[in-house]
Amino acid sequence: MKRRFSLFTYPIMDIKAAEAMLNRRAAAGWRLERVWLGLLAAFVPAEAPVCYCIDWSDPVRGDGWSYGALLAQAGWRRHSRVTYRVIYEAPADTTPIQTDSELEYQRFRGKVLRRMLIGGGVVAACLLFLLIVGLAAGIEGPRWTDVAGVMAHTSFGAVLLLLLPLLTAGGLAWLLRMGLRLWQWRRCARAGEPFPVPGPVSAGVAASCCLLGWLWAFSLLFPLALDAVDGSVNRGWALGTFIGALIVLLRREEPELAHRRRYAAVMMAVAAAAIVLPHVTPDGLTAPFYPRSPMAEAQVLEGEDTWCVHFPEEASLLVSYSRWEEGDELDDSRFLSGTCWNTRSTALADRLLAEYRAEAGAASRPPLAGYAGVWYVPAAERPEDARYDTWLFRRGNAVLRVECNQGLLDESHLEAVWNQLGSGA
Amino acid sequence: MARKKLETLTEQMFYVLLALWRERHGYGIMQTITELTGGRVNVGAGTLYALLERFEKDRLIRFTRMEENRKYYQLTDAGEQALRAEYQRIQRQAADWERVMEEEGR
Repeated sequence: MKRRFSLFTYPIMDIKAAEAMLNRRAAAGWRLERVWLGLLAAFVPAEAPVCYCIDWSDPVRGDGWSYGALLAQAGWRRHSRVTYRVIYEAPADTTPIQTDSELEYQRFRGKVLRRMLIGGGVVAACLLFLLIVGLAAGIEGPRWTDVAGVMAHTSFGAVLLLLLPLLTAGGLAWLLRMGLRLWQWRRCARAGEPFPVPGPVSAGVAASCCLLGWLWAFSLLFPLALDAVDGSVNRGWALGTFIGALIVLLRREEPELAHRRRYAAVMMAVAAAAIVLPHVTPDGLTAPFYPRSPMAEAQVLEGEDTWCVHFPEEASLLVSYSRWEEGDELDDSRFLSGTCWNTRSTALADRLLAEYRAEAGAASRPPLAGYAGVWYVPAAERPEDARYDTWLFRRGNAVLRVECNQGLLDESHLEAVWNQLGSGA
Repeated sequence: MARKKLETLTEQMFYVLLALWRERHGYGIMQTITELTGGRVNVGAGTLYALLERFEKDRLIRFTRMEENRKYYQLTDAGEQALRAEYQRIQRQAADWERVMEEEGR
């Protein structure tokens, strides 16, 4: 059968643009077949002329049978639901469902706005928290080792953090558009005029932005899957989600809550995967996706009585982090600790190195003569009362800081460390 | 300025109440209004549902019975009073119009 497709990612405040698009298609002889994942509308040739109305609906509390019955008697057949909106179809020229803008505005406020405000409040609280953290960090500058540490912890967190500015900008744009619509609708409701229909360009831009938002959300599935395989997803969260979803599936049997059961089923599957996957997948399965940790098995000191402890390394799609310590069982003056970062981002590597150099008091110190990516700061030249010499290495996007007893390392060790650093940079 | 509904009825409110002078169900009200106004006034099903809920809450109409999945309503005394008040307001408006037109000689 011949089909036509249209993007259906209209943000909720563009309900009239979505309705106008459906009716444009209907006027051209097409009827809506279905809306795929709330993103793509598929149309098939209409056997008889039809028209569409999109009505507000509370996804948790339905309108009751009498509302649907009255709409059905008036010719409106419920076609599908997309979040807060229900699409109705009727023979062409049927009287629209809403013919009074003030009552329509009240319906929006009663069914949707209150629920959106709860979600919006949570988002606003998160944004406020980020703003406070950002301002606090902005006074002294962010600690890039903390930022990289968060990014190394989980892939999901890393991607989320990377795209946070974009997400925040998108959220603010969404809120501004919502505010504009509320102002317009309120004005129309007071004047008894119909709600305005956003222009095709404005609606198209908003729909494209929403599509990008959806793609971004889908793109988080891959890092989430990596975290699940690594066992990085919080077990308490996974178990709680699984039990909560199970309760919803067992107890909420009302037909109007089918969407909620579907959502619960998806969340249950995600939680189950997070619990089970780490136990059934081989170790190292996700390693090819992560930046290598070049110093993961490093040992710089030589001798039979030396000890070496490698702490658990952390790695995500964007950053890997490893730390180790070495010493001599007999000689206290031989101690060394190393911290190594390897990132996908040159900018982040630059900032990590700059932070380490500033901490060591070597911000303006040139690299070691003959070594473009090595800085050496003897303990005596460090700003605070430091016990250890500091060695800093930068090769590619790998940054290594070694702190050791005074004079423990010399240039004879550099080549080995430099080569090892190059193996993963 | 916001319309003070139920003090001054909108056209749709007026016709919904008028249609309920006689006991009717929801869709019957819509059909009656369309017939009565020759298609000039059409009340959407969603709008009618909201109005019926509101009128019932304000005791201008009452639910009378349920038959074949249809809810029937009828005007109450308070509803009749509101409708008459609106009719008198419209009459006064019409009288004012006529007086001004006579004075202006049109």
